[in-house]
Order: sequence, then structure tokens, then C-alpha cells
Amino acid sequence: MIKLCNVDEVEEGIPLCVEVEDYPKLAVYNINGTFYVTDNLCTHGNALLTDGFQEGDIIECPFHGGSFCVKTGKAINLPCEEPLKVYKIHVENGEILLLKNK
Amino acid sequence: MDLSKRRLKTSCGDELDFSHLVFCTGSRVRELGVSGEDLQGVHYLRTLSDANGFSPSLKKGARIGIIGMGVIGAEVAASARKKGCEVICIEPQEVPMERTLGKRFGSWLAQIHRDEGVDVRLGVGIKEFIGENGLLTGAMLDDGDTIDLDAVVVGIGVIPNVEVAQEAGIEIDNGIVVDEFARTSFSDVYAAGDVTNMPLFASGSRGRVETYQNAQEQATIVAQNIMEQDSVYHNPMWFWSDQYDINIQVCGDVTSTSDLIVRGNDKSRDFSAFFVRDDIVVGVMTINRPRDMGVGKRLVAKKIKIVPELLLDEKVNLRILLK
Repeated sequence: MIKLCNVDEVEEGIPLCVEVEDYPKLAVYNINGTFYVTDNLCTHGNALLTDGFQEGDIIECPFHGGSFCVKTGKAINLPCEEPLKVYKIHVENGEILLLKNK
Repeated sequence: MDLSKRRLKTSCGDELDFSHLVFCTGSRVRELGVSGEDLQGVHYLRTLSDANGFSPSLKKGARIGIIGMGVIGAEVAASARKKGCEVICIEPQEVPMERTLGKRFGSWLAQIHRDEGVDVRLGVGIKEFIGENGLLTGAMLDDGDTIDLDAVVVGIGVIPNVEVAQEAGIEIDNGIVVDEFARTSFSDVYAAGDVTNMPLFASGSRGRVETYQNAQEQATIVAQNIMEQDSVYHNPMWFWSDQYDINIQVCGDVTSTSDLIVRGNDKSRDFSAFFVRDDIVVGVMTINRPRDMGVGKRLVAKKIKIVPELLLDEKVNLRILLK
């Protein structure tokens, strides 16, 4: 497992950009105290989703206003169509850990 | 098309019955109407084939004329400079993108293009195109100046494709007239996108909104209302434009008089401008700060009262303004 960040670094509605070796930039979200991790780069434009607007489990891309479900990676709003990669994580001792091999 | 019988006939001769009808006929480019317009080398930009027809002209060192410096003209100017072309922009207004950016930031944008090496000529129009053997070689401006050109893009706006709706007897006034439910003057007949003349956000006036956002969101409203959801479309206008290394985004009204609050340095290419009236944000423009637009759009849409000092403070996360 790879440590991404501490839970207290990720506020609800303010996703955190995390960079770890061998992975693309990741976005960590807090939804009601539960954490989720996705690729940070939008699947449509060259924008970081952590610059976007999170409302509940939806992240809106800052460039063209498309959006994704953070929990499933599903594209919700055009122009986003391709799903976002979602990563499996484990939370322990106040740390958010990325499970390897996915 | 017979709206009262809810029946239409296609040009192939098929007859179709309908319960609801939606006009999404869009718009087409406005033509300049000057002499020499049919010369090879004079381009308009609307469709993919227009773009494919024009792009071979963007060779290093080619002299490209841009007639009209609205969003299309300014974006093509930037792309042509990046390809190494010499670019001359001809714009009859005082500043580029005046309709969407207003005078102050239109003037800011003119300076950006000049800094990038574009010959920006404002307050001047085109008199005629000049050519030899059917090929464009230059243009004469209405101030008497003559310029040599290899190719030209004309971007002077669009006109709505209202003809089919007009023949069917639907009310037209600079577009198909719709209400906030996207309904036309005829029951169960709707319209969406560039072609509509619609009630504008927070202004009490009407107009056409030629944006990607409007085409998408107004169409969604139509679908919802056909499903009897009584959805109202009343969102502030929002668009983006990418020029050089700059992502420009605008939401709401940034052109009329209001107080200006700038987050960051407006002499740089990294700032956000908030247009505030009675402590309510009526418009937002972000320059390479797309991260401010998510909150900005919602401040405009929800007409939330703000504390100006918080907008100015870069340490403040703008999200707290929405609470």
C-alpha cells in the first residue's frame, strides 16, 4: 500500500491533488467522512479535477463543465463521456492508503 | 409542416405525426457582403469542413487576415500566431470581444494579442478583397489602407436559422421566441440553442445566447418539459475561450457598469475579476484560473451577497462564500 495523505488534509468539498511515484496525478475526495480516490486528469480536457467544483459525490471539471461521479467514475454530464478511473483505498490510523494492483 | 394537425412532411416525401416538436436549427455565419468575397482564400469558420478547408492556409510565414475580432476571430488569430503566421486583425469596434468582455477587458485582450505579435487594427472595417485570377492577394480597408494577404477568416457573427419555423407560423424576433420553459408561441412546440430568442438571466431583457452551455442546457430543459417536469431555464451565460497560453472563462454580466474586484494581478495572465453590484456578484471572468469559476458560476446564479474583502484575499477558499 502507498500512503497518499492524512484524512485531515482532505476537507469535504475541497478535493486534494496527490502525486505518488508510478501513478498519474490523483484526486482524493471527502464525502461525508468517507474518502474516494480517482485520476485527477479529466478524461475530456487537459484539466485537473481538483481545480473543479465538488458537490456531494459529483465533481465538475473546471474547463468545460462536464462532470463525473466520484464513487463510480461514471461520466455524468457532457462533454465528459469516458469514465474516470477510480482507485481502491484503505483508511487506517488517520492515513489514506492506496491499494496496489489497482 | 402543419402544426395544428401535428403533422409534417420531409423533403423525401415521408409524412410524420408528432405530439411534440423541437426546433434545433441553429445558426449560420453572417456574410460580409463586400466585393471579392468569392475569391479563393476567403474563409468562414462554422463546420468541420470549413476548418479543414482553412487549416492548410496556416503555414509558417503566411499572411493571415482576420476580419472581426470576436471569439472566433481572436481564437483563430492566436492559433495562426502559434503556427508562425503573420496575423492582421481588422475589427470595427474599439476593442476585441467587446460584446462578451466589455471595454476594459476587451482592451486588455487587445494588448495580449499585440504582445504576441498580432497587428491589431481597431475601429476600422474592410472595404473590399483584392485578388488575381480568382485568388485572394489582399484587402482594402475603409481607412484607405491596403494590405497583402494570403488568406482571410471572416468571423462577424451568426444569424439564426428561423426559416422553417417562420413558415410554420411560429413567432420570430431575432430567433425563435421562447419563454423560460423553452416553449415557442405554439403549444407543444419547443426550441433550443443558438436559434432561440430567450429571456436572459437577471436582466429582464431577451436575446440569443450562442454558447455550448446554452445548446446543452436549454435542450435538457426541453426534454424535461416534454416529460411534463415544468423545468425553468434561467442560468447565467457561461463560456470559455483558449487563446495562446490563456484560458479565459466568463460567466454572467461582465460588460455593464459594476464594481470590480480583482483576485490576483490584472497586469498578469493569472487573475480573476468579479463584477459586483450591491454586494452581489453579477459576473465573473477568470484568466488562467478555471478553479475560481466553479464557485464564480454559483455566486452569479444564486445571487448570494458577498463580503468583498473575502474575494480579495487569496488565502480564502472561495467556497466559503457559498455558505
